[in-house]
Amino acid sequence: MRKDREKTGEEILLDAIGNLPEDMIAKAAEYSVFQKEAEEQGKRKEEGDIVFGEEEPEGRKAGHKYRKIVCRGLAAAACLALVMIAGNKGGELFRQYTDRHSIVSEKKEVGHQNAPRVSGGSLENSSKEKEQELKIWAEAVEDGKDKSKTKKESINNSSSQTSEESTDDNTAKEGKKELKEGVTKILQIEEVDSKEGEKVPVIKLTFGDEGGKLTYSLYSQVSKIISVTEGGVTKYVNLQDADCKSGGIVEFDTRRFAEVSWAAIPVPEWETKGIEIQNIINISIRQESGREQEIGKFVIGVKGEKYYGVFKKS
Amino acid sequence: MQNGIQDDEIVQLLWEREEEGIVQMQKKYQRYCSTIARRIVANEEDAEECINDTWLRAWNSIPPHQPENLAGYLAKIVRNLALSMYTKQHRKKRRGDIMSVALEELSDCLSDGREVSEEMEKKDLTDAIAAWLRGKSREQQAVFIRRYFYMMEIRELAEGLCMKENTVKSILFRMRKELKIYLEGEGIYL
Repeated sequence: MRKDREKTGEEILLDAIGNLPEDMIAKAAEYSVFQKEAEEQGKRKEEGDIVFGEEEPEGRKAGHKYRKIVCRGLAAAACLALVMIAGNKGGELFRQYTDRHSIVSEKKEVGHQNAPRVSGGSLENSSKEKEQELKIWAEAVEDGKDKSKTKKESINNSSSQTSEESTDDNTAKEGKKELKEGVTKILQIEEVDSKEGEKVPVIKLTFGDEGGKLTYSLYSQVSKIISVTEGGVTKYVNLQDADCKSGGIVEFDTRRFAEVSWAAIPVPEWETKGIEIQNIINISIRQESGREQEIGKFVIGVKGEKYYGVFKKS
Repeated sequence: MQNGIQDDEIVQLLWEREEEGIVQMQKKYQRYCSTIARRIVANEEDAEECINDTWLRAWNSIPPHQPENLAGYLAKIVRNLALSMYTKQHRKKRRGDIMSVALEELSDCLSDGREVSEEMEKKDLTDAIAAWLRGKSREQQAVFIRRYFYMMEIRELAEGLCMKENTVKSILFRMRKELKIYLEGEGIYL
């Protein structure tokens, strides 16, 4: 009896799950680790981190009620004492005190105005960081011999930009090619030795200007990050996420292919070109406050033996 | 969505009975729908049939429907079509594939010793599951829906959410147990 209806029950459940609200279904497909971090930040805030400028939770307000009364009482007593001192020792002393006090208050005011205002866990004066343009260079996109050939093969997005336009004026660094937002470029594969000593075909990307102060957080959705090189020092990461400072060179493994489904097609223009997505790298800036701000995605595609890359801003 | 055309534009085209609506819908959601279908029906031809039926159903159902979330709407159609096809094909014998494993897992949510309430509205069950899921974190929702709606493998799920496979398994295990208790609390016995 149990066996007969067990199947029915499971199938009923599966059917019911199939009719869940559409927004819930789509959101589950689009959920990323970045949302997870944001969710965790929100939870931490709820649990107790009070942020300046924000109202305290009701429970905590009640908890501070008595402390507030005591503080007010003490402040009133202090004021009374001051008045008495002033009365006893003359107006001059009182004036000196109040002058000094007002200066301190003023300084505090100024200090308060100058201090970065924190809201929702982020620094409001971090607009400088927000304004930072991320530059990505591909290591060995085009060498001298292949340059003209690669130019022709560059695939542009749906915009009217031509491949010649996309390749000129962007040789910002020797042997590297800047990858401009929305423009697909052919990437070259290099074989490197992994920590384990095996040969790994990788794509090397440089994130940000050398000497810059920003730290980028990278999350490779499909394959692993083999290594990160900063200031000539290579560290092996071999994980799906890694940090790199401006100018850092990161090697992405190309051996695995995407099996996940993206509700949002990251590069629609590749659909018609027959380019399969190999990997999506989420890029965010780690701000001074520790908060991560997603700035875009670098999408790696493959068609035949050729690899393609495009940077898409968030 | 980062595709050039917005979902509401596609829906509008379908409402106006413009075939361009189907073209744009296919262009934007072909891969998404085929991934869902292929996870459930292993056969390439069957998956293709499900996808084609999805476009047809969308065309026939919009109007009168005006989906607020086209991705979710299409996902539901293709998933349910693929599920029906799978059920037809495997009525007699189940294999050790993702579908049979998912069904086996869902038996954790069933109650013992009670008859299935045949008169129970399917919608009530869906509403109950949706209400229960809304009380969960976004991460838990994603894990549950990716497993039992999108039929993702544990490995794939773990990689997509940057978790260990064992973590995913234990999240799912706990959720199934919780769902069973929740449904029983709502008077739903399966």
